[in-house]
Amino acid sequence: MTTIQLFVGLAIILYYLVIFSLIRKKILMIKYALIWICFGVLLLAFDLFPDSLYVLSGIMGISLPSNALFLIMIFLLVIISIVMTGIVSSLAEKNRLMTQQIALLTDRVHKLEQNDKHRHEI
Amino acid sequence: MRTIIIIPAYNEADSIVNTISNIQNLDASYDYVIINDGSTDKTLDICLDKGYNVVTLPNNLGIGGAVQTGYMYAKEHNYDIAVQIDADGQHNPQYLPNLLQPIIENKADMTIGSRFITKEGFQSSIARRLGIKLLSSLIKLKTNQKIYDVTSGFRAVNASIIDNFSKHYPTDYPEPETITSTILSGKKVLEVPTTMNERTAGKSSIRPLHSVYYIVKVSLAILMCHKQ
Repeated sequence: MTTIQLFVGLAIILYYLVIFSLIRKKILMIKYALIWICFGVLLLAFDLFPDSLYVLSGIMGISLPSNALFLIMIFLLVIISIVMTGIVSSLAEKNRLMTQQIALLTDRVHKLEQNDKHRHEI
Repeated sequence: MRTIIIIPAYNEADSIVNTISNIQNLDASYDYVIINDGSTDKTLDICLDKGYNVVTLPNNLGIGGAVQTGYMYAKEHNYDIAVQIDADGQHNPQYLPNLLQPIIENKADMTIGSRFITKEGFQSSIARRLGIKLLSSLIKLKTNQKIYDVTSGFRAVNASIIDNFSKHYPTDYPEPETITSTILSGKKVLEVPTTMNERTAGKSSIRPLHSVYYIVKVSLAILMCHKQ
């Protein structure tokens, strides 16, 4: 095992510690942490079997394995970002609908209460 | 025909009383609903104090979300016509009958109060007029109908469009986009000459720094618009 492998291995352990502590503190939902757990598995695979990177870069026609690694990682991160903005958009939409419904219901309850008060006074 | 006036208000404490009394002083009496869009000033206090009919959003949703709440309210209470009027005193309620007439006579499904037909009254700055011209030609390109005052927030619609708007309405900068989707749905949109005042208080929702974002976002929205 080379020094770089050892270094990256330690970084991955730290990465998992952070993710699992975020899940335990309920800052991250498991549903959304799964993607990062899978991402870590991929990193670990590259760390344990660096030869796979040489094979991959050969297939992709990239002369430097590190460039292939960067390209793969950037591609994955872009996809994750697009999925995330999709999730944010749908949350914003649900939030809008909920705000509007609360406003309309509050108005109805308020008017019902007023009618009720009137009836009691009569 | 039961008509309701929708008044979206975000931090309009300085002008809301004037706007409502202008409406109440009209010859005919109209129902109205103020949509208080999570104002942080005294807007809500003033409305409650004066006994105005006000619906309050717990969060600030932006103009589109607020106006749409008005359309939801109109649908819930079975109104036949809904009119939008800004709370900042830009729109003159005197023109209300002009906007309502074509809808009552079934000559239009939607009317837009336009300041660019007779070219009287407040005309906005050169930069804004340029932006409006660009959006206007995009709408012409997409729908083959020329609408001049595409950003006008002074509009009236019939029950079928109330229903549409209560389901689909863009959250920010909604006017040009909704004109496009309404025309594409085969509805009749008519511009009616009005004059507008320079806003008496408050800021336009179109701020200078945001103008680039505004033009890009709205252009894209118009081009991607489809029948609803």
